Amino acid sequence: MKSLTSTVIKNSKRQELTNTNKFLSVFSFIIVASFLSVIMIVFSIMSITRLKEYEQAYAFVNILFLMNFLILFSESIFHSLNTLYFSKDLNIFLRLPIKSNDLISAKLKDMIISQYEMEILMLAIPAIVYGLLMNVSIQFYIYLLVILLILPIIPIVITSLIVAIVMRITHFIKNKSKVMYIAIIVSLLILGIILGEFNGESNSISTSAFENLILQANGLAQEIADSFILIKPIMNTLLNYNNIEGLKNLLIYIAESFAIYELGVWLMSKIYLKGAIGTIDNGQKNKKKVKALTEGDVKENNKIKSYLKKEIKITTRSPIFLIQCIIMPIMYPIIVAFLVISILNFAQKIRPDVISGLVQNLNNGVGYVSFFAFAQGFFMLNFSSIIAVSKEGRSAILLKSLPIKLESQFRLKVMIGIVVNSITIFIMCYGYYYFFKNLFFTIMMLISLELLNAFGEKWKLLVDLDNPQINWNTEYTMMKQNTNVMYGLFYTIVVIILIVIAGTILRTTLRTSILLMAILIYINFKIDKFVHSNSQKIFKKLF
Amino acid sequence: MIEIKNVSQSYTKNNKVIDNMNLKIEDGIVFGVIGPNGAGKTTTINMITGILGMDEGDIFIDGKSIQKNPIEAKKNFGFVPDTPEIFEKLTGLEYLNLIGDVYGVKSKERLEKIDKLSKEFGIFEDLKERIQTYSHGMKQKLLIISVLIHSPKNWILDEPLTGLDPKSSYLLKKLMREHANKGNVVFFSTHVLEVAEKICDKIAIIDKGKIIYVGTIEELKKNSKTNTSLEESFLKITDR
Repeated sequence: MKSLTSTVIKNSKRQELTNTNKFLSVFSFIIVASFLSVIMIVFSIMSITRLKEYEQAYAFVNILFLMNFLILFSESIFHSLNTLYFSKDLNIFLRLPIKSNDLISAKLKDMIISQYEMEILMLAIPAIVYGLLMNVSIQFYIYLLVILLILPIIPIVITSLIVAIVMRITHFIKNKSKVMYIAIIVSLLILGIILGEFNGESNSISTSAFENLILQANGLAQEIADSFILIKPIMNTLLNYNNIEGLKNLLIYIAESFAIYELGVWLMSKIYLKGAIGTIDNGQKNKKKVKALTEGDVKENNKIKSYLKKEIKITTRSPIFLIQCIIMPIMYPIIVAFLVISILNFAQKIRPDVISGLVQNLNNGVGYVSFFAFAQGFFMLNFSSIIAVSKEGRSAILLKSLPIKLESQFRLKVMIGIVVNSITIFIMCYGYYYFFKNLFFTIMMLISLELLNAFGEKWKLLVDLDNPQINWNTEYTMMKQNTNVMYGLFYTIVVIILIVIAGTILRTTLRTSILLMAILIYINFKIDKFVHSNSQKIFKKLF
Repeated sequence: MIEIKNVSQSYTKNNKVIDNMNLKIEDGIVFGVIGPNGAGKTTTINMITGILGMDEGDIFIDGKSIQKNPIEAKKNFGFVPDTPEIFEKLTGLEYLNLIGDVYGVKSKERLEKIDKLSKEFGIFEDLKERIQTYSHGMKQKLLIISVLIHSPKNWILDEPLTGLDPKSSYLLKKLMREHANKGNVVFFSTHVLEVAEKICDKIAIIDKGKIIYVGTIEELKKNSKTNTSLEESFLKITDR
């Protein structure tokens, strides 16, 4: 069992790096992690200080755990689907005399361990900052460590179980992509219903009752804890670390996690094999046979158009790539735009003076660049270019033998990312025009945002080409390695800081917009020149 | 014609995987590269096709340098890699159309060739299926067809017979011979000595990144004084 778990973990993490690359990788990881840690520390200090002013500091821990718990749940759908069902190693494991519960257990442990890296940044650092600001005792940190170790168990096991049920039901469908789509959608629905049921109380609270809660010291923390029963013991552990209640709740959470783990593994072992075998079946049955070819089947195309079509097909025919590279990056800005519009409409009704004041105050360089900052945040969530080469697996090598300039292939590979980001750009420009009614600056913004978009996508592709993950085990593993949030976040924060500094120093919209555009033209020119002169070199690691 | 001139390549410092290689493959022959596992066969082919760069030297395909004039050089060959991993999300027909578009094959010619070759190799009925549903052999056949549809002068094939069924294997060997007889080059690697013995006009034996023999099989047998088989001569020359 131990050997199986370690094999699964090593197999999912393995990257082919030379010693120099290993050193650079560790070095850049330390730099990026340190930078992001500082950002998280600053953000935590600001949030806790602000919550303290309203006597709601305890709510910080609750909000923190709640957010991470929800992220874990949603992320686990992709993770468990790919690790348990669409992993290439299943071809080997399923023919070995391994019990299904041992295999499930090994894969679950792999998934749980893989969450720790992110937990350190997103949970441990803010929680430690909270501990320091609130002067907590050593018990808090001991409890925190135990909680961090067991936190991913419940989300991963529950989602894996849902996925296993869906896969068991859909195993007769031979089209793997169709199965994956169905599994993702149905699992999301079931998960949404389950979470909705658990959190029912929070929806029924009235506005006046909510106001009363806010007015009570730590009322918000209590409300959150009461509303989310699955993680209530965690919240109570950390809020009552200095008395017996804390220990009692910790023990409850440990028991809850292990009981769910054992029960989940047992239930999954009953249904796992059929679903897993269904996914490695290559779908030979019920195929549509070609009877004759017509001229329409072999229509000639321009080679550039044909290459681009290949890029689009590879992205859209994989549920993981389609969701993460196209659907999500389009949905995020649209959802946020609707939220912002609703909030603004609400605010306009209650306090129109605040909105008009805000518009007046932001009609300057800072207001202009704040749209860039938001846009960059959304660009970060578009993963098309960061996997543009890796997504093709070993077949990416063939690209280099084609008589199409590598520089042209580079440009074509960033196209999807640029087009998808244009939705965000359109929303931002519309928003700017809506508030400030200035067509000139809106056009300037449109051009500059497209330049920022193009630069960012080219940069992402260079990152992918620097360490292409073409020997992946599952699409999801590759996606996770390439879209390591830390590096994306690092780039985004650096860009946002630079843009905001520019807006603050230059003050007027005219100066800011002109300088920003000039800089963006220049850096795009530089990156294009670099790609032109070094195309052989930048594709060098692809072999 | 393929010409390899003073080519060296190393992945790490002081460890040359290809060491000062020189080789000239004239038109009209089937040329086989044989050698033990890890000898440098695939590395050589990867360098010829532009997948891998080189530290020193240059490679010319019909006089076009793969380093200085890569696009023109690439137009002159068709390549089948050692692992048949093709764009899995495309259908077989979509892949062949992509190759047809990239090499500018007219639709009429494309239709005829795809129709004929896919029927001969036995994958016609599966052309509209996604490549991810193909078996290893079917992918290999698709890659071979993709080379044949644009009629390149030089065929570069890395272990092309691996995974093929007997009928397709026979067909490919026949096509290789016919292509060479028309004055073209068939350059391929193999570790199956019987294959090399049967179809090669000339062979090169690579070991530890160096060419240790170039010539005909008869000459090799004669030089190594073993008149029995290529296998014995090979083992003798590679000291294994």
